[in-house]
Amino acid sequence: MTDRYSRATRRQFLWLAVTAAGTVCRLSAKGSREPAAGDGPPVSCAVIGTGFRGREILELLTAWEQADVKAYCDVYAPYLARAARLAPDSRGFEDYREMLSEIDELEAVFLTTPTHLHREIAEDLLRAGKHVYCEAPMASTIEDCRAIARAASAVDSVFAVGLQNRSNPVYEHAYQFLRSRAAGSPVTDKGHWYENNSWRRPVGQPEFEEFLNWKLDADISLGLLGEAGVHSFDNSLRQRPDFPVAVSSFGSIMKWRDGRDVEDLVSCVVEYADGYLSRFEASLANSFRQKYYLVNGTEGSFLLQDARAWWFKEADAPSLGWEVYASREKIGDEEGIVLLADATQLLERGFIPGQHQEESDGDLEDDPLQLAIEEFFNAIREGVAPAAGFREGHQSAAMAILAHQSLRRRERVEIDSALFEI
Amino acid sequence: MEEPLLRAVNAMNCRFELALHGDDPERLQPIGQEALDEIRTVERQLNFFSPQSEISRVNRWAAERPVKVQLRVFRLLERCRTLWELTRGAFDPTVSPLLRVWGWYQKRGRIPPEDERREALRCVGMDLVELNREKCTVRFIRPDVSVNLGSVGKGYALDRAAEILSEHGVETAFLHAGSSSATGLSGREWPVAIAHPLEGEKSEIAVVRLCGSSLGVSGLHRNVLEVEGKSVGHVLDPGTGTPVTAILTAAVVTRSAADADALSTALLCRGPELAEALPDVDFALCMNRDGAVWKKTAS
Repeated sequence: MTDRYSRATRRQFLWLAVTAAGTVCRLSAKGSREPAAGDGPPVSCAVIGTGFRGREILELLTAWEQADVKAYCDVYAPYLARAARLAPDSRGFEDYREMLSEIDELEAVFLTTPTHLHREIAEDLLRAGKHVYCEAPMASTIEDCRAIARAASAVDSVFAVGLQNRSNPVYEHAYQFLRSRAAGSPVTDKGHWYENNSWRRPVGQPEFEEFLNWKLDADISLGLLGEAGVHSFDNSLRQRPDFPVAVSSFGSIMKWRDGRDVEDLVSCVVEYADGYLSRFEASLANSFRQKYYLVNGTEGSFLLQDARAWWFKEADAPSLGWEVYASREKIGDEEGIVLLADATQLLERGFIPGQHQEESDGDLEDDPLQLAIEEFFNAIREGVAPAAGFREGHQSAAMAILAHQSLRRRERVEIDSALFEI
Repeated sequence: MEEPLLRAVNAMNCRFELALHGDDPERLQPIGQEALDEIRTVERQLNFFSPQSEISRVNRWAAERPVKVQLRVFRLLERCRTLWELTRGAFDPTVSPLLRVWGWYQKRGRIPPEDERREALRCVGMDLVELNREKCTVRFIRPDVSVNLGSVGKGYALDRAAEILSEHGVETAFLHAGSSSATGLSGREWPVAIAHPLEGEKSEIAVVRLCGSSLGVSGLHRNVLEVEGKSVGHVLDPGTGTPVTAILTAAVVTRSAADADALSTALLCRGPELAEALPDVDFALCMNRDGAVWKKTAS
């Protein structure tokens, strides 16, 4: 797989850091790349599933010169009508098979249907030779995950999973620090996902009640552990050399007592063989701190929230010298060194962080979803594997499925690592 | 009447609240949620201070080349263009360069030197923003132009939320964004008091009744900076580049909340003379620093 980001060794990283003047740790470059107008012809694409997420993607694609939106598809007429208002020049379909047969020159398809419907559609799309961007989690059962992964591995087309953090330079930058042991030995990590949101969709046609509110049905939905937790599980798997050995999940319904049987509060602990614990907590009953990912090590911690990242050093951690110049911000009582989005790009462009602050713009300027889609399109053009492919999709979904099993069984589940294999 | 279902969300630096009436609260709950989700979507699209918003993308690149934008954002920009023409420039979403030289973005008020103010004025005006409907693109005719939809965004978010409610057949509802924008859907009349800018909720200067209409209120008193010992309001006259001072509060009732938002800001700059010339306005009000109140109600 092509590595889009330069992986500076710790020594190289620090050498560049100590030779720089000024606020060295404000490592950033002009955050936004040049718009990809000159990067090749537009990719002809379609969206299957125009619920909230599908419309978000559709609207983003319509504003992008690199995307030629040919069609969209949904079985629910009101969602189809909303999509039509966003993309009036594209064609709407109720049946994706009809769309595939009628739309010539369709290269890529975004699959944003309910999770339990991914398998059949993904297999059909791959058989039809389409490049596929499949929202995470990839599927809701291990069997479906493996079927999709096998189908994707058997074809040349690109199969990407919507694990956006894998194409987010803020995360990549933080992982570089982690790999350089700037936080010491890893101890634990935590994913936090809080929203004050019922997840219940209004239904204009009663026969669509179960279809539209699939997330609230414990028989088919992975609930918060799947739909939200998959990203946190992926964050954790990405930085570990091994697979976990057990998971314990807990949950309850604390606010939305409307007849659902899917929990609106969940908490999960994933155990690794060396004692490392990875935690995930999510709630639909409260929105405090919204979403973040935190990694704690023996010498420091990394906090990633939205498009920003901070490094908090332990008081007794060794000094790296250049920290005295670093830009800092207070988060609660803790003062963190700001890690900004595009230090790697700055280095790639030959600028020395700190000496070329005029080239810098600290914050990520591109929407993480747009970055993920750009990365998908680049993978199509260059014929390379995407940052989050079927393997990553399978592993993260498998972890979510196992966590969900623990919740449903109300017991600790020991993990057979073979489940992460395709 | 039964108690309304109340839902709220913090967005665009204020609290949006919906009061939905109906005989089935279980049905109203997810509808209200969807309307709140729409408000959050608008915030993501229009947030001037978020580098990842659609508007920030336009501001970053439109001086270099035409930028294709999402259709709904483009239509809002077209509407802003129309309102700019209607108000003869009193409503102008391109005033950011002026706000910058007066120190608003740094939260440190200053009186800019004359040459700075004149240079900033050269970057202000919707005539510097080229909108191509066929390609759905935005281009700035010169550098340093930028679009900030802060004076229309809250109202626009209410309009989008109201559309969601209407789509689901909810017609008896009241929505507001802080204390500056409100919409009453057509299912009943919603009396809304416009508070005296200096006496607050203790007294009102007018009561309007919204029914399928929206109220926008702009005032100088709540958002001020200290500049050389004086309090200066956040509204700058796009024509002169100086803070407006004569009108303390202005209010407009019209069909669309986005229009009401924009027109109330425009009235703050130009006063009753402009209000007389505006079409499709059900109600307009201006109160000056002496406390004199001018009102006009459509017959």
